[in-house]
Amino acid sequence: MTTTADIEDLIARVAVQDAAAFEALYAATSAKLFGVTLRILNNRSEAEDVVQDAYIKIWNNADRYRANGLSPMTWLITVARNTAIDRLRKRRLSAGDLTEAAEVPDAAPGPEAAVIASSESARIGACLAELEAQKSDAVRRAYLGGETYQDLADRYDVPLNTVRTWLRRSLIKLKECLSR
Amino acid sequence: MIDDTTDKDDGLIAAEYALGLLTPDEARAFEDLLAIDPAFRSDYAFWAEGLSSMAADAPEVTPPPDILSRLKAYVAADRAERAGRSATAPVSAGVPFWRRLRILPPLAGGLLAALVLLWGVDRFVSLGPVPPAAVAELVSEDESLQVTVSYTEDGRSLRVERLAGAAPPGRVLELWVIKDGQTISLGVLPDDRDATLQVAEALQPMLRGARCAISVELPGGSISGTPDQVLAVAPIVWS
Repeated sequence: MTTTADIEDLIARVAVQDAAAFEALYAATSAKLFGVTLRILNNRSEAEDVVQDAYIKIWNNADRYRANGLSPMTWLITVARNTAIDRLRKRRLSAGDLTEAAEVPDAAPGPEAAVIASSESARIGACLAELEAQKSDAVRRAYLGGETYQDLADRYDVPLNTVRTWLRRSLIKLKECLSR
Repeated sequence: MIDDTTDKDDGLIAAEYALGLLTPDEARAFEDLLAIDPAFRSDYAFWAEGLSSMAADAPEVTPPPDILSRLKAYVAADRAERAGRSATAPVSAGVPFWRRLRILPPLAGGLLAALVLLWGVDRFVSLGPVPPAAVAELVSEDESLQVTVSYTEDGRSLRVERLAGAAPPGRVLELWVIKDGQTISLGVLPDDRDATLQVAEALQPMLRGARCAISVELPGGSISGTPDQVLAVAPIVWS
């Protein structure tokens, strides 16, 4: 059973190019990271590309882990999430703009549906639940769907400044809730 | 509690950054701040931790085994490259070659191969107008792709023989020479199984002490002037 301390130790060893530690880290964490990329991308072959890229970044940047101040699993998950979002945004750029996708009925659940369906967990779930549905939806769409302020403004059909104000107010409430 | 909704609320910039809502310029500026300001780092850590649960509760799914194989090969090559660099006087400072490249996920073949170029340089110098003998043999791990690159008899072109395998559908293979942090394209490999690439005379000295790479590109080759997704790379070995 790999503990947080174990993961941290493995990352420290990866930072000095310890290949065995990297393999052990992969063994301990790849199912979780692959799950994360699948959730965000909802496409198996893209998720495979992305999880591979994420571990390459982990190999190359393990020496910067300490400076981040994140817990080890959060760091790994953040690398996976960021890499997946980059890919998701690239896919959108080549597929056309988001408003078109929003018009399409939800016959086949795309990433948006998976985003909404993602289960509440830990503090963030309880805190998001304290927001209005549309506001917590916006936070999820940003974090798991890679939607930008402009995307969200288009989706909710409001001016850009309005959605910015909404989101900042929601973030203030989230910060207060998460700090409790 | 002060209800501060102005842009001066730095804790929110960290949240926006963690959510990916900043523009690329804003994000870069924030990263500069992260590097120097512990208060920003602490803000960022707060949000990254809090938000990450949205991703962290994704169910675990075992990835296919070929991903680990490719990662192991990448790691081994990176370690070898570092060992090679530390064993000799460093040619240039800065980001190592491997760190700047992404390894492409599998094609029909799964490539990561060693490229060996043998230059009969001494023979050329001492025996007069005998062109250098150079051979590069690229072989994929499962041997589905085999490409041989060699100097032509006049010593001015590279002969490329694709013995087995090909570029994936909708893509082309491009050949590169990399030396001292510079990357120069030798051109897109043609569809012909046996073809010739011209090497400009000015480029020929660059082929010494360099490394070669093959990348996969969109038709027409790389427009950025650097390889995007590298399949195979290795130092040129002189004999």
